[in-house]
Amino acid sequence: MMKILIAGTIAGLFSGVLALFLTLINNAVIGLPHIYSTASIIPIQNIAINEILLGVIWGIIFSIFYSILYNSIPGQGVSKGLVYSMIVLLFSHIRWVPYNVYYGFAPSGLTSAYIGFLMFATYGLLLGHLYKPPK
Amino acid sequence: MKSGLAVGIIGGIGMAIAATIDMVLSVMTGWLVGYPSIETVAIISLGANFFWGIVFGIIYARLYDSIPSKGIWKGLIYGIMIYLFSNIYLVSYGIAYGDPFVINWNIGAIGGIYVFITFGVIVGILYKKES
Repeated sequence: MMKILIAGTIAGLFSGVLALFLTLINNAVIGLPHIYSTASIIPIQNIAINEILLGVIWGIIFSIFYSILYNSIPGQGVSKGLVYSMIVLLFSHIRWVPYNVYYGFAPSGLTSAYIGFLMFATYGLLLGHLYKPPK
Repeated sequence: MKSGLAVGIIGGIGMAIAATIDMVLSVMTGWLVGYPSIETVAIISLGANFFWGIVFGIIYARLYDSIPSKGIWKGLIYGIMIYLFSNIYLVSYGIAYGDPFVINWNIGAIGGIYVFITFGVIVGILYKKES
């Protein structure tokens, strides 16, 4: 149990830091809207706390489910982690894209989906690399 | 049923009906604001939830062996898992960023648990893996 929690924490931390940088580039540099806020510019410290803290918390939660579902996920090692993270991406980000588009939030919805893709790809690769189930 | 696709179609119909009732009632009673007409909300809700029900059904068949429990409970656990990964995940970020519209939208997302209970019960009852 300890192994999966450590793997989930590390993978969540890295994906959270990546989300922080991508969100900063999108919001503060390019000026694209943020999916979770209508504020034109979000304070950097808010983005940092939200993305890293939630990245770690969700990283741990997703990793627990990864260990439970491990045997049914296709692939081996890193590719298994990647497949799992793409399923999670589907549930957590892609599912909302049609709603965002229909309700007039297409730019922020699509931005969220592409940040989510890079974030979860990183998460899955790390989780697949770090976690080996007990034999 | 032994097909994840077939179970997903039926689960998707159940999910679409439950979600549409939720959304239409929420807009009609003023619980949710900032939405287009009720007809548009109903059409989007029906279409999107039916589509996602099919996708979730196919994934359920793939993950079936590793989901704890049996029968209806297995389906329910899977439904709650999607609810956690989808709605609660969204809500956690919405609350963290504190936007009023997102929080308002999140109330609907939290209330959407029975949509996934409906889906979970349907796939849990209908899906039987080939032995």
